Amino acid sequence: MLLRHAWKELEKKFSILFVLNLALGLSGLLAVETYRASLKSSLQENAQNILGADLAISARRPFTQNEIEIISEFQKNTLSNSEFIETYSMIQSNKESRLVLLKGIGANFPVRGFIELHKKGVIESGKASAILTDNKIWIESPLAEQLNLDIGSSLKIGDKVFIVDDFITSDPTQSFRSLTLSGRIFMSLENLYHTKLIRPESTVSFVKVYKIQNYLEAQPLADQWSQKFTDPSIRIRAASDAASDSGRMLSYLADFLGLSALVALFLSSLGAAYLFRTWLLKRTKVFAIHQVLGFSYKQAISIPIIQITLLSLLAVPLSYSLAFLEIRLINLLIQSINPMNINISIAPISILITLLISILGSTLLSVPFLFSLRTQNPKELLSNFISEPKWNIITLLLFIPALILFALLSLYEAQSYRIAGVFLASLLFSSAFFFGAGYAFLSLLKKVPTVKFAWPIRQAFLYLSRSGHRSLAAFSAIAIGVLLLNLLPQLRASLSAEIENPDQKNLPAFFLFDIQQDQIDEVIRLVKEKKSKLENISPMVRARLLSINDEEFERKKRAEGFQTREEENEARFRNRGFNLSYRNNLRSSESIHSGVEFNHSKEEIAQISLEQRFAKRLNINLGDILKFDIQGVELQGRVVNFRTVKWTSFQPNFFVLFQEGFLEDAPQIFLGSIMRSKEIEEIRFELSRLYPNISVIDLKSTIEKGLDLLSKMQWCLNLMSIIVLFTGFVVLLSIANQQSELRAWEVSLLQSLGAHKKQIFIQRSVEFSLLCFCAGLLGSGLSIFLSWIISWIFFEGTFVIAFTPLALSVALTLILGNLVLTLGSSDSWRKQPNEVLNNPS
Amino acid sequence: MSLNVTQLEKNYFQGEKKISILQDLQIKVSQGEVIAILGQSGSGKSTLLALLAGLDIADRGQIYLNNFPVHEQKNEALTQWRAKNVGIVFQQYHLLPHLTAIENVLLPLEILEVKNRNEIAANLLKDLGLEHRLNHLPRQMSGGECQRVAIARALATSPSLLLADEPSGNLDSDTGSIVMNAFFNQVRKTKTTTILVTHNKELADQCDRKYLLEKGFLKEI
Repeated sequence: MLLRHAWKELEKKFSILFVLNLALGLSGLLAVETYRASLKSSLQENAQNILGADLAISARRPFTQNEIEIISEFQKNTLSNSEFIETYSMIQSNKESRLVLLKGIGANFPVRGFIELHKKGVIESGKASAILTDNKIWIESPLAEQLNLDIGSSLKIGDKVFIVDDFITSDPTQSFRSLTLSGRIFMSLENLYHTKLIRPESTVSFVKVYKIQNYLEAQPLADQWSQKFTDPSIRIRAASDAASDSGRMLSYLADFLGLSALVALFLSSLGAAYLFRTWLLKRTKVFAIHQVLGFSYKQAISIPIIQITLLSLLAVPLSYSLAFLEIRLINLLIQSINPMNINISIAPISILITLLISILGSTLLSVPFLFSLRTQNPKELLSNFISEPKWNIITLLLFIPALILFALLSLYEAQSYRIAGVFLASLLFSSAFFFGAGYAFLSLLKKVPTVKFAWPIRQAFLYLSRSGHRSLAAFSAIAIGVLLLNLLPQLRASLSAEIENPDQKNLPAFFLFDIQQDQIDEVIRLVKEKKSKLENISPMVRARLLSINDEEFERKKRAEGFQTREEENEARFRNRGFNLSYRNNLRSSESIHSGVEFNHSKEEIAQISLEQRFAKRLNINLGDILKFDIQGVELQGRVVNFRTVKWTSFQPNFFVLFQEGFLEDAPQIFLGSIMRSKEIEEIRFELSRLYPNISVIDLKSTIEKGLDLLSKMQWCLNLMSIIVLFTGFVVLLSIANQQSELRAWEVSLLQSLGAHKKQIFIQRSVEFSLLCFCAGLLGSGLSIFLSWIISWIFFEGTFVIAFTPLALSVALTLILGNLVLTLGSSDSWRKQPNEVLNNPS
Repeated sequence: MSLNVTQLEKNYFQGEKKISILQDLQIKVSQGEVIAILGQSGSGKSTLLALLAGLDIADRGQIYLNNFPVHEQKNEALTQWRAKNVGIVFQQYHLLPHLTAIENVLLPLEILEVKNRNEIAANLLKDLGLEHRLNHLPRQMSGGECQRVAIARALATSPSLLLADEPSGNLDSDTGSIVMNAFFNQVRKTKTTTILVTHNKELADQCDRKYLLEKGFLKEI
């Protein structure tokens, strides 16, 4: 019976707007969720190809005898194995020189996957090393093009001359190489040694790869092997790990897309809640009649709950259709970043989750409104004036379950306590702020002397200042909408400014690394001869952290189940080696955050300066004693200060800095930078000719690549912003429509009193414009404030205001406000006043 | 002659079925005359008032108020004419909830840009016994008080024609009597031509003439 009542009572317009609101909000979430799941499954499907094996063990130095013995023990349980070595080098052909990644492959390579060559076609697993013999090399097609090389061309790499045997057209291990600094050249392992580029302190990766019987056992095996190696510079990865690492950038993008989708969901929830509240106000009489007729309070409220559930159910298929379109667009945009073909399909579990969120979310949101009716008796509800239900602390507390659900969703989408926390706190703070500010704004309107205003304007002021909750709810909804619409563009402006670095004059042209100790003086001289200067010369010593205050620094074990991005980062952070440097003075890109500068006196224990976030992450305090292992030699140091480092200065910067006098004798390499000058290309050419082991990174092209990637990612976020914008538009339309419906009799009454339609429209337009303009201004203002806070937290203070989106959003709110007012009230204009006055809602 | 209605006809359609509400309706009301229209629910009383007020359009017939052809006017002209010439009292008061009593009464005067409107509104409310309620919002007043505010609002512009649609229909009998006494006092005092739609025979008896609207036809009783 209740179901029948519920269905019959549903109003067409309310139902359409409610379903549309909800479906729009859910569609973004469903689209991102589907994309995330599809990305994960595509990565897992390609995991073995990406790693080229089931399992890999790698080190930044040759394996020790002891380690080789442990590995041999494990090796017994594998089906086949291979190895390869990777290092960076400069190579030159004609007048071009480029940084390349050299990959020397051993027997049986690759143990999984394939390599596709231009002439020879697909080389299946285990067969590459058998073909790549003598002095042959395979080179990536774009790199060959840059260096003007054809098949059969000769190329000198290090001390050896090679012949280009074929071009690499597809290498699955490069599926996510957007930020890769260089092209790749494959050669045999033996030949890589013959180039004499593998020097003791060079950046070299030694990798052993394995094929095992059961792919699913790779992860447990990787965990088991990891426990046998204490040195964090040894890394053991299963194929699934490699896939996750490869897709990390896209996963981060998906996290932010997820948050943007949550913004849309928040807006649509706001719209749905507003619609429900006004609809409930309209049907308070029905509610009262039900109670008068003998329905219990529970039975009476179960009717709207059933209605909300029915509408939430209807919203899911619509959100499914919208999500389908959105996913296609997201995928289209992401394919420009990631060439891997992601097989998109909406998983039943995603639909189920959407259904659950839709029903649970709507029901939880409706509870406080329904509860507020409990405080009024049927007589009050049946009275002539639609009175606002009374709100008390319990009613407000009833919003908490809905908030908890939203908090859980935020955590799930952001995969980060920190980001989810900031996101939620910002939303809650904004909501509270807008209610407060809206209240102040409406109170202020009461004080405006309106006596001399034309009556439509006077009426607009009176309505706004005296209609209490109704104006406040609309004000807050619009302000939050504008805030959310502006936040992304504001943050994007700061992020772009941070990366683009406006101080182009101080940006080095080249960044040099892997300069060997015996080369540094010659490199300085060479650069000087070319009327330039090798600057910011920094020694770099590889080490591993043994203990903090004599407490052993442990590797982080792999966590089971849900892992936040912070936990993932921490695990990655702890499980790696550290690069140390030494000098007594700070650079222009550094400043002391806390503690004292090095006092230049040589004490027994070295003084250490740590980058402040690094210290925070490892929970290190000032005065702590850190013990490092530098190739078998232990060295202690006391933390005397924390530094703030501006990483975007693109100078060689380090997390751990020792005072001079302790690390000078340790095996080390040098880094440096060269400023732009006329001879810069000549310097690069000479460096690559004389010192091919030194990697020269072209900062400009690297930054350009980064910005290009960022702009592609921005498009994905833009798409989500458009969905947010559209949701905001529907919310505004809903508000305008509900307001018009609620006040249709008022229009008719004013007409019966002799007011012209034009005058009534002016009144409404002034009301809406005032509301939209002030809410828009406030929303924009808060978006600047919040983006400043977020920039301060995440981008270390680089903050830029994007004025265009601000002006556009306020103007758009005004235009949209009036547009939706016209659209929303079109119904009430068409009706004869008599019709409305005789049938008041 | 104040109001002259001839051959007025109004029909509604339920699907293809035509329902006649008013048929060949004739009525003449002199200046200052108060007439009552009685009739059962659904007999078309409110429709007649709406047509007279220009809130609805007749299918046929003529309505002249002080020789002004109401039936020939378009919407905009009707609005302007109504502002100056017609006052309406609704059964459900229809007061704007965000305006105080005096602001509700002031509204039609503001629309007409009448100069000493505050004085007019205050005096009217005082005459109706509401001097202590000037700055109260409708929700702070009783039903009887709200209806008296509605009467004051209808009379504020000194209309040529006052249309009252069961003004005491929503009130209990005691309050209804108080309100209607005030109503009759005012219309008599201002000599406003008035058409009162009511169910209440006692009220009808206080009017100058009584009509019964039955099956679409109007006859004097």
